[in-house]
Amino acid sequence: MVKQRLRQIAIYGKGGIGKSTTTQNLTAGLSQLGKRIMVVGCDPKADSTRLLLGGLAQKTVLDTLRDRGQNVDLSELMKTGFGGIRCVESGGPEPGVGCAGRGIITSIGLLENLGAYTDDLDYVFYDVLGDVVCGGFAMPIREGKAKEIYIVASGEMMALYAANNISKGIRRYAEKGGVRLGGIICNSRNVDREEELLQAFSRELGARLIHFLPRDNIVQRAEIRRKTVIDYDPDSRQANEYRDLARHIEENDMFVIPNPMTQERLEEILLEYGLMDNVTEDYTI
Amino acid sequence: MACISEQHRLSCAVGGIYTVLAIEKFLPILHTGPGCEVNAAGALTIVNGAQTPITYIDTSLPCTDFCEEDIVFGGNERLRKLVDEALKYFKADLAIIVDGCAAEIVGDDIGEVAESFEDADIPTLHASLPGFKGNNLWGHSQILSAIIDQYLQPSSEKIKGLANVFGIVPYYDTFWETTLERLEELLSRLGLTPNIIYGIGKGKAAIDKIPQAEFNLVIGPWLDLDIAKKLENKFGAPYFHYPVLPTGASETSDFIRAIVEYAGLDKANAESYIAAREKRFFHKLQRLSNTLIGGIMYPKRFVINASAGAAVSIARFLIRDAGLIPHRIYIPEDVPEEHQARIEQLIREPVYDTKDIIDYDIKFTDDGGLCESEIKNEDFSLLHVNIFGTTWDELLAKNKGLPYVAISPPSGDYFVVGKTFFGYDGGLEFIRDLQNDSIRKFLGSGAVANVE
Repeated sequence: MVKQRLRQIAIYGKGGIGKSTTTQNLTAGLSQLGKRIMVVGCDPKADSTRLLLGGLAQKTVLDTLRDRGQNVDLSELMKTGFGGIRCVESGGPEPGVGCAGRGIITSIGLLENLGAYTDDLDYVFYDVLGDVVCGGFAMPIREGKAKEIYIVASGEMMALYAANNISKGIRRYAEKGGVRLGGIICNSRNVDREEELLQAFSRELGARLIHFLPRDNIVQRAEIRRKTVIDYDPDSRQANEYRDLARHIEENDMFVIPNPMTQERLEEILLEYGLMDNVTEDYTI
Repeated sequence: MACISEQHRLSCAVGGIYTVLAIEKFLPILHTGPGCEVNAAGALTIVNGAQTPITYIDTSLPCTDFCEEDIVFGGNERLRKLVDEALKYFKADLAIIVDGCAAEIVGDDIGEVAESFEDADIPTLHASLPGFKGNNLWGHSQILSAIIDQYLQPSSEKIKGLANVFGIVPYYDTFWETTLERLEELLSRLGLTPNIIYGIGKGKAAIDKIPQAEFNLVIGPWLDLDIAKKLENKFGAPYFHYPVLPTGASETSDFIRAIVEYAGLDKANAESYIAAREKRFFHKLQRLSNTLIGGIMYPKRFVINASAGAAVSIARFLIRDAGLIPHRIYIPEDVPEEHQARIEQLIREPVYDTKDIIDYDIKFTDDGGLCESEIKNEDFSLLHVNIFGTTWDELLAKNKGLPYVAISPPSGDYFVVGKTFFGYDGGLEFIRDLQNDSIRKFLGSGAVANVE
C-alpha cells in the first residue's frame, strides 16, 4: 500500500484563543485514529506540548542550541507523549530581547538537519505564536513546510480581526507556493449567534468552518491536570468533539486560497450578527 | 536611498567607524556581523588612496561577530564581555560601541551596555550605525553626535581665535589628512588657532577643546552643517560656513579674505600672503599653459562624477583659474534635497564672458553608474573631454582614451600619501596630474610604444 503523504499543518489564531489546547486535543484525537504525529511548538513560551507530555518536561531546541551548539542528538530535543505523539518545543529568547521569529527559523532548520521529519510520520503540526508579528512566525508556511493552515477563532471581534489578518498572510504565501487554508476552527466563547457568525465569516473567506468546538469547562479541568481532554476523560462529550475535529481534518479535502475581507466588510458581518451592539468585554491584547 | 544603484561611492553607516579611527586613540567596538567592517572599508581605505587607520588597525578591531545565536537570544551580554576586555587590552582614550543592522533589528540595547561602563577609566559611548538607516556620511554624523551628546560638556571659558574645523569627512575624503594639515598651516598663518580633531597629534586633547572654541568653521558645501548647528545649540558657539574647499589661487584667495573678514583677522598680513602665493601660482600655471590650452588635442571640457565637495572645488577651480568648461556634472553622493540648489548654484556661479557656450547638466543622484550609462555612447573622438571622478570613472576614461584625474572616493590604484588638491599648491598638483595623464593618452613620450 502506498503511504499517504506527510501532511504538515500550521495552526494560527489570535493570542489566547486556545490554539495550543486545540492542537493538543486534536492531535490526541488523530493519534486514536492510528496516525503518527509530531507537534512542533513555535511559541517562545514553550507550552505547546504540555498537555501531551504531562508537564513542561523537555528542553527547548533553542535552549539546547545555546547551551550545547549544533552537536546535539534529536532524542534530547524530542519527547514522546500521549498516543505516541512526538513533541518538540522551539522555545525562544527571554521576553524583550533577541528575535523569537528568527528563533523559529533556526529551530526548524535544526530539526530538519537532525532528521526529525521521518518517513513514518503522517502529520506534523506547528502551533504558532498568536500574533504573527514578523516573517519568522510565518516560517512554518514558507519554504514548502506546512501547506495546510487552520485558523482557530471565536465569535469575539478581535479573534475575527486576527483571523482575517492571518488570511492575508496565507494569501500572500499561497500565491507564491502551495499554502492553502484548510478551514476555520471555532473554539467557542459562548458569544451570541457564534456558530452563525463563524459560518458567515468562513463563507466570506471562501473557506469552511471545519468544526465548532463548544465551550466546556472540562477543558480547563484537564489542563490543570496537564492532560488533554481525551486523556483526562475519554468518554466525555468534549473528548468526542475533539475526535470529531480530528476526523474532519483527516477527511478534509477543501483547501482554498482565502479571500480576506476589508475592514469595512468584516465590520458589516459583525454588525449583521449583532456583535457590535453587545460589546461588553475589553478586547485589548 | 535608491534600492538599486551601480558603482558605489559610499559605504554603509558602519563606515562611520572611520571617523572614530581618524581620531588618535579613539577605539570603535563593533557589535556587528563579521563582514560589516570589511564592507564599510570597501570605499574608504585600501581602494581609496590605500589609506590605513592611524592608531588601531581596522581589521583587528574588537567585534562581537554578531551571529545567529545573538539574533535569537540578543547579544548584549556578549557585547558587555567584549567591551570589558577591549577596554583593558586596547588602552584607548575613548571607546565608542557601534552596532549594525542585525543588532538594531533585534533591538539590542547598546546604550544600556555603554552606560554600564560609566565608572570605567575610559569614557565609553555608543552610536547606532545600521546600514538600513543611512550611508557612511550619516554614520559619520552619528559618531560626532555621540561625542557631542554623550561626552562633551559646556565650557564657561572660550578661547579667542580658537576655531573647530569641520566639513571634511576623514577617510571618505581621500585627501583629508594632508588637506587638514595644510588648512591648519594656513589658518595659523592668518592668526587663528584651528582645532582639528582628526590626524596625528590631535586626539582627545583636541576633542576636549571643542566646547572652548570661539566659533566653528564648516568648510565644504554641506557635510557637518548638522554638527555645527548641534554645537551652536549646546555650546553657544556660532559657525562660519564656507561652502567651498578651495583649490587653486582664485578660490583660496577668496577663502582667505572671507575667513579674515569673519574672524576679524589682520587683513594686511592676509593680503601680503595672498599676493605672494598668487604670484607663485600663476607663474607656475603659465609655464603649463602651452600644453594646457595650446594643444588642439587637449580637452577643454570636463565631466565630473564625484562627491559634492570635490565637484564644487574642482569645477570652480577649473572654470576660474584654468579656463576649462563643464560638459556634465554628476554628484552621486545622495545629497539631501535641501542642499542641492545651493550646491548647483556654487558650481554655476563662476561664469565666462561668453555665457552662451556654457550649457550643461548638473545631476544629483545616488547611482554612481548614471554617469557612465549616459556618456558611454557619446562620441568624444573630435571633441575630447576630461573625466574627473573615482576609480569607477577611470575605467570609463581608459576605455574612451580620455584624460582622467581621481578626485573623489573610491580612488584606487594609487597611494594618496601626502596628496591634496587644497589651496594654491593643490591647484597646481591637480593640473600636474591632468597634464601627465593627458600626455600619456594623447602624445606619449615615445619611450613606451604601444606595439599592439
